[in-house]
Amino acid sequence: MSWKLSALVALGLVAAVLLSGSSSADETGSASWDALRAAGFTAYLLTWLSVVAGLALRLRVRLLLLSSTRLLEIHRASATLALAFVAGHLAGIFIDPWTTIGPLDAAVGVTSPYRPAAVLLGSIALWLMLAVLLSTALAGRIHIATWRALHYLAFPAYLATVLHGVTAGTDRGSAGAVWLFASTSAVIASLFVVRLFDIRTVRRSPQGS
Amino acid sequence: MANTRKGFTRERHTPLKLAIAATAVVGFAAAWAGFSRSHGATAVVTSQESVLQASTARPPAAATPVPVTTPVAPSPIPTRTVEPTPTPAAPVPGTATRRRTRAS
Repeated sequence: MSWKLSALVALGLVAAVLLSGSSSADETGSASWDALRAAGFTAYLLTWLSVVAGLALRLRVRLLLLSSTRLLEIHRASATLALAFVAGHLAGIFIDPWTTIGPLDAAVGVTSPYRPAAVLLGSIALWLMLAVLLSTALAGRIHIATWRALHYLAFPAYLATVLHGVTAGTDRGSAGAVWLFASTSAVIASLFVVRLFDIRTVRRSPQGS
Repeated sequence: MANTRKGFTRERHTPLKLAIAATAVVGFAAAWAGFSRSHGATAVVTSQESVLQASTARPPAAATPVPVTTPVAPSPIPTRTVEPTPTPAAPVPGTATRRRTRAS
């Protein structure tokens, strides 16, 4: 369900971005640039929601009084939807007449003519996110330790996403973007610290599992 | 090895996932519209600036003062010659504004 829904959303997003980019009103590339910015922010917020839900699930925190099964579905759905919005983000980048970033540049990062360091961070985030989602798709068929090791890549993926958002694009340094990244990262950092203490407590306890 | 709670095979709460997807799409559309509207506001400001600059940079031909010389008749008041003062033309803002915005 999550995959199908996300694939549908991705198709709609890519179509909307392509249509806006080919319209006569987009002579300066404003429509595609605005679309890719909006898709990037939405993908970031969905990634954030997925990480928060995953951490809350593991810590057994009843976030907004939601049951664990609902948290699990929020965790899955937001992660796959984030990938759909990344697809829309990439579609906007490829058709934007000003950035001149090709598929190879987006995949590798450093070859990008537009802010290679920032694009590299975005590429790293994308590959790590793909690895995490692939591990989830293969869960049950791969060893649980392998799945867990791959799943922990979500943390560096989130960090790379934040750094990509802070260093790339028009919105870097803007008050709204700084506030958004700072407040959301503070929530993740707090939960991450609690999670680290949780791991240590479980390891010390002989009854911990 | 088989774990029914992992993977994407056994999922529940379809309305919840649809609600998340709908919220994300609406948020994306709102953000896109907001960014486009911010460009529109900038365009209005730049067009006003261009009108003001155009009116001062190049005065209309009819209003251009012509140098006038007074007759040779002696007068106690010294004659003054009015010269047109050229104002440097300011560049008209155009698409370059967006490039600067992105590069910043």
